[in-house]
Amino acid sequence: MKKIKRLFFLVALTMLQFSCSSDAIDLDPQGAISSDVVFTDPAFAETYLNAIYNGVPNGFEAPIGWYMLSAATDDAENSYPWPASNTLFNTANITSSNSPYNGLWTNAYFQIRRLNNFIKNYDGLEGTDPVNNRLKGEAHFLRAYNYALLLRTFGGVPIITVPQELTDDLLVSRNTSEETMNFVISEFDTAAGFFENAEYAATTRGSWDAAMAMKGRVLLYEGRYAESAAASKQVLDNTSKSLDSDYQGIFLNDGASEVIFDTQFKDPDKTHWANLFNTPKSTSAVSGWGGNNPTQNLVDQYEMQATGLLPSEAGSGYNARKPYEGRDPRFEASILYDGSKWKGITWYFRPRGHAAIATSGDWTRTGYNMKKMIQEDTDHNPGGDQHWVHIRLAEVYLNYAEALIESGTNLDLATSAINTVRSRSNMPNISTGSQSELRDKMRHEKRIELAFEEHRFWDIRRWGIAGDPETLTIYKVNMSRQGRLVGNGKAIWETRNWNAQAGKLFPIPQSEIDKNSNLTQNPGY
Amino acid sequence: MLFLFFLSVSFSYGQEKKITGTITDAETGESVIGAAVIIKNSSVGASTDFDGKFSINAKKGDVLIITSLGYTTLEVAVKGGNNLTIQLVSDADQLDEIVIIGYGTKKKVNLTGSVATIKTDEIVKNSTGNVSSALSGRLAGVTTIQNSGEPGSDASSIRIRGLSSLNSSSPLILVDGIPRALNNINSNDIESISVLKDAAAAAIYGMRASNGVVLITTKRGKGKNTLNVNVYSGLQTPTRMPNFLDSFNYATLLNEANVNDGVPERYTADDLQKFKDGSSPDTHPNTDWIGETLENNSAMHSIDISASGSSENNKTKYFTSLGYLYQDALYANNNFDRINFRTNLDIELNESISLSTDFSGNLETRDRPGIGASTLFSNIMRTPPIEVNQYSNGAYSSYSLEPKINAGYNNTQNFDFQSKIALHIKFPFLEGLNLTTQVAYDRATFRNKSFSVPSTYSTFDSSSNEFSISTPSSRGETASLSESQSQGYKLVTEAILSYDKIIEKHEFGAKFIYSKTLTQDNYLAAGISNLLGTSVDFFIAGDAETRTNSNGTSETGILGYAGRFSYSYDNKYLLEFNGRYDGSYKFSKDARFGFFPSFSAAWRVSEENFLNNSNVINNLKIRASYGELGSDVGIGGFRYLEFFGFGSSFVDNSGVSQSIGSSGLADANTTWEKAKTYNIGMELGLWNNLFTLETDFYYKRTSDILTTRALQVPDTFGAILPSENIGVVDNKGIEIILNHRNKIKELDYYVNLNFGYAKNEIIDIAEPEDVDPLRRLTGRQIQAGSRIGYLAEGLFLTQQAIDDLNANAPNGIYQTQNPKPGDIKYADINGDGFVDNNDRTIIGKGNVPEITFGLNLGFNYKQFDFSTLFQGAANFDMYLSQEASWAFFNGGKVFDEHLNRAQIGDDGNVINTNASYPRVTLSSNAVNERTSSYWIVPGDYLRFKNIEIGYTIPEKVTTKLGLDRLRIYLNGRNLATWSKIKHLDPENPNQRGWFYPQQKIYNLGFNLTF
Repeated sequence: MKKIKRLFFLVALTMLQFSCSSDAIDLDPQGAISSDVVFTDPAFAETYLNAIYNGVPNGFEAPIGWYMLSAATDDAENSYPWPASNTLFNTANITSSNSPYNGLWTNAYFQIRRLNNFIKNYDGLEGTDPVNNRLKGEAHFLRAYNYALLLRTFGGVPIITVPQELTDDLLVSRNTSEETMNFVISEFDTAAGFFENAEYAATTRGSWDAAMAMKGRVLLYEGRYAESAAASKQVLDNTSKSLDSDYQGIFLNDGASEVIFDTQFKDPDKTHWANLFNTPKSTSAVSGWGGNNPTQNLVDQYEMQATGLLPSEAGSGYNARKPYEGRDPRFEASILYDGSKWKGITWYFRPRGHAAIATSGDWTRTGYNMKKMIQEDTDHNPGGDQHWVHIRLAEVYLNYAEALIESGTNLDLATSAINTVRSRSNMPNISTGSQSELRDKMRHEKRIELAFEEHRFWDIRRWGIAGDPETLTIYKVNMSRQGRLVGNGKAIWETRNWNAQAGKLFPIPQSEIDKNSNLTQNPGY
Repeated sequence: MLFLFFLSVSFSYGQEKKITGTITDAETGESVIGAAVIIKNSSVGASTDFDGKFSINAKKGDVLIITSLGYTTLEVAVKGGNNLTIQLVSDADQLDEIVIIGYGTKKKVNLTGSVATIKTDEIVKNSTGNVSSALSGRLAGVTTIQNSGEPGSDASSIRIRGLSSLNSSSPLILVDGIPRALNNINSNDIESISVLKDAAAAAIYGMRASNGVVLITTKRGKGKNTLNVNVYSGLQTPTRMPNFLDSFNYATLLNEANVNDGVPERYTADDLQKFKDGSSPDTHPNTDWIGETLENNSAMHSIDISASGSSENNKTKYFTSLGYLYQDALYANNNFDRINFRTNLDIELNESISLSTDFSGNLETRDRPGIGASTLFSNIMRTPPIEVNQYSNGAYSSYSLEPKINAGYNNTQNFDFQSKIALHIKFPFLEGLNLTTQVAYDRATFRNKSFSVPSTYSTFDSSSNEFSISTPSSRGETASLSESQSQGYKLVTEAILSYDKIIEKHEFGAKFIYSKTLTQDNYLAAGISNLLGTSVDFFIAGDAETRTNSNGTSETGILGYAGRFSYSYDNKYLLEFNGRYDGSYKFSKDARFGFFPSFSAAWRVSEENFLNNSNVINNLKIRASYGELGSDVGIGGFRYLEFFGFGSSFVDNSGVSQSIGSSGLADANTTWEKAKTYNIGMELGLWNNLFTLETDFYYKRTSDILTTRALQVPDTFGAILPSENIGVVDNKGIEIILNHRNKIKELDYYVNLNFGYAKNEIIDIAEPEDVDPLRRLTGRQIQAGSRIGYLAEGLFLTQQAIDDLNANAPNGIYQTQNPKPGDIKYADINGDGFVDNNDRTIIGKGNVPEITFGLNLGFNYKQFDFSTLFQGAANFDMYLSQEASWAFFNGGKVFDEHLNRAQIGDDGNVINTNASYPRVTLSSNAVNERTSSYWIVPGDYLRFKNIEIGYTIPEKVTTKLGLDRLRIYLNGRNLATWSKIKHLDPENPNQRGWFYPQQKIYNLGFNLTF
């Protein structure tokens, strides 16, 4: 009996640990934040918006990374041939299934839902008015910004302003492009209204300057020239921004004074691969992937500093024996050429040079490499942390000029806006002229000033020049082993055929059409 | 009373005398302890002592019946002699085979479910560092896929009966009843592995059993004290490496590509000559990247020492072992070693209570260079032979992997400690009532330190003929360092109450189980960059501005109540019910628990009178089962809640700050995936098991699979969709096991064939109705859907062929991208006259084989033993592209097979119309590089998986040496592979060929027993 008693004691003891244990598996997710505080505590609200800023596409990683969008224009060719720039854009092979902009659609609506959620709840914010207004303004700014990206890419898109429920009718239809534009403009206006009564925001966040500058750009793209000019003028009249004297520095320094809206990086927390991708391929110690190779087409557009004339123009002062001397200072700031000194190395892109021009591998295809935006003073292999500038004051000047020229209202003001930008780079003024003369000057100025900043991709489309033979024929340098130009100094690298598609909007993703029969596809796909 | 009775008996039969004897194991010669010796037709009995000795009073003509668990029952007639030596034959392959099942054991003949087993010999024989790879080809319905041959990363993924979920199809792995990892066990420690395949066998594990269960049982002490030493040492070499063209052929083909591309040929005749004769190795090398980067083979060693036995009174039994495994790699600074230890103790405290305490653990060290295996092999696959590895002055080039292999490191150490204590109570007041309570506490720690160091190499300027050294500092490159550590525990508490009762021909069994598993893991990671120099691997040497750190915690908890009721009548009719009520932390309180029952029955036809005396059929059993199993694997926790978590860093005004985002929409009702499984099986034994056949048919419908409505809900909705119980997948298949075993004089031979076929089909994944059937996933194989492309129809041979198609195309273009002769022609599937997006379809099969099989042949003859295993898989596809398939891809190299490319004549048409590869080109060929069936290769393969030849030194010799047993053996693994893929291993995981190749292994070893 004694043994049995002991036994039962033992059993009871072991059973003790098994009782009351169904709560043991009632766990909470670790490191989670309750949704209650996110829309009330301004500190959390700000970090919520941070995630949405992280979702704003930037040119180092867009639209799908691995290349710069300028390689899909007549400004550049990507050396390694497999990214979408070469295989889809330049060969007009975009379909609704493979479009590099399919991801933009998904991402934009993902961010828009986050914003709709925030906007629905933001009246509960418990901060002071200047803080609350800033956060509210940022939300409207970001919503406008995302719809503006959709508008530019796809035309009119479904306008969704509230977070939908799964039980709602989700098969939305497209709004017209005018409706979409009007919504974008009203959102930028709403944002600007909040910002007028808000604390100061850094360039990494939405601001009054950013909202108005973007408004000017969107109106310009949509051909609302008078309104666009008015918006840009408001920025120019009221902003505290000023043009930097150091052109190259704008793209390398977070604090550049003309930046209105940018995406910043900081090693090691947030980096991109622009340095590795775009450092020239060479046999020397410094050797990257090559990446974005400026074309001879672009190089030829850099004027002579002394005369303000193109090398091809009579009396420009251009010397084919020293083709890279005396050019617009922005040339030196933007382009690595044969004989450039960079990273302590003299670069030889001439045939048989250590970074010689070639037709395969990662070697430069054109005899040039991109210098603008690439960090010189850091190792190119790890992630880079220079910022991407979405909009800066120089663009606003040029947008203002374009809007004035296209509306034909005040050509003198347009001339002076262009000259403001030129004089920063110590380039001689242009003189005013006819509307069409000024249009050419303005377009030229945009191409040079904003080179590789993703503008030309859209500009050649909206200006209708994408199909011009001079845009389609891509030239590389024609240089001897001794580094002398041969013949007229250029040779055809390739003839692009994007004209089949360049006149069109991008396709709505096929997967969206498959799911939502109410979505109509853009023409041509 | 009893004593008096015996006394009277012995008096009445005065002829009785004391018979003594020793009972030993026929195979090992070890004494058998505790064997029962009974005189037939009497109640007189005795049992053997610690030395296997017994004594019993019997008279001449009596028959002794000797029984012992695990041995065939033997009858011995008492003759005149004394000191009998009786050998018992192990019944491992006999009808009485005991099989480990969930929470217990069962005689194989009495199983009502589908269970496959493998014993220690067959596991050890495989000479692999991990147990998962040892299962390959040995078990019907068990598929293994080995994705890498890298030491320490060469484990296989295991699939039981193929795929049946859109989420994870990984089985539940239990070691001695506790969820534990499979691949860090010393395979010498394993007694047996059982794979529970159908619902009847697995339902006792309810919610985690849907993908099958693998039960590993480790050795425990018994009998005589023995010391075992198992040692082998061998060489590993890749099963297969691609054949790349040498630089002369490479350059020749590149010139051809230049011509095809309409650009000047890059190489002059002079260049080609230099490539050919090697006269200018610094400018015109012919680099064999495989040969110059990799060793031909690498070493592997294993030492295992174990002791087992029991105390004199047999009340304390022990098994204890120490194992060491070392595997070297094909290049320097990469190796793996593992130390295992284990002690399993069984202590009988008194008649009612016994205690088992098990301690085991392992320390695994993976030392790797700074460059990872996939990067290294991607370079080997890509760098062309015209680049220099090592210059004539001995210096390594910038392409060389040698400096990278010798720069930095990435070292990982895992230490696992596992403990279990179990108390077994036999209640004295009711025979057959037992309680086991057990607690397992496992601890796992992980540490990784990664030192990334830029390498130093040389460059050569061909114009000045000068070498220069490129150092990290000359390039402005710096080292970086990161370190991460984690530790976690697992606590399992279980109680198992069982009751067994036999009333005449009725046999009842009942079992109740309570089981709870809690885990917690914590990790901490930190890093720094821009270190001073390249040799100090401490954070203090780094740039404080680049510091990073992160940490995290995760917890899991599952809780289950299970039961089993079995009934059999006369050993003929067997019925069983299993059920488990299970809860997982992953689901909300309302949807947390699920009930998973199974019913099974078996009819042992051979026990019926009409077959009882059959000379042909000695065993025939028919069994059937139905059950529902659950799964929560591969599903994230807490999907029933929406909450916010921290995301990637945001840089705000040059400062780093956080970002937070929603975990996604929640579905509060999210609950278990459920699999309804039907299984019918038959077991047949002929001519006293000379031939046996076991076959199973199954049908499994997995429903409530957690997936999203991503195929239905447009992206304009904008949210991370909730996981909902919407998916349905069917899986059906057959398994066949054929066995033949025979002994002809001293030749004991066996043939074993196993075959498994599993086919799955997606029934529902919330896909809209109007998706084109060509691309509709519903109704297809689970994995096939990931590959949507064009159907290739060979190559265009003439411009005329292209022009003709264009002429009939609506817009004058049959196929965009301007194809030329020698490019791939795609099928116009929808017949609209041209090829566009709408002509794409789902192409090829998934990469998990539908058919797997193994053929095991072997014999024992006198002192020799010999065994072989052939293993294969079929019905799966590989998609090979880029480096693994395309010539000159991204400046890369060229395979032998590319010599059979389409050659273009002066008329622009293809000359060799039987070309197997498109025309070569250096530009990215948008025509040929589209996803298409052209690049699909059937993965089907057959391997000569294993061979072992052993010789046991005759007893006469070993006895003199003071040994019980000494066996030496030669072992080989993966010695030959036949497959449709010729240049890569068919288990290659990566369509680009970036993987450490699977290994052939040659071993020499010995087993020693004292």
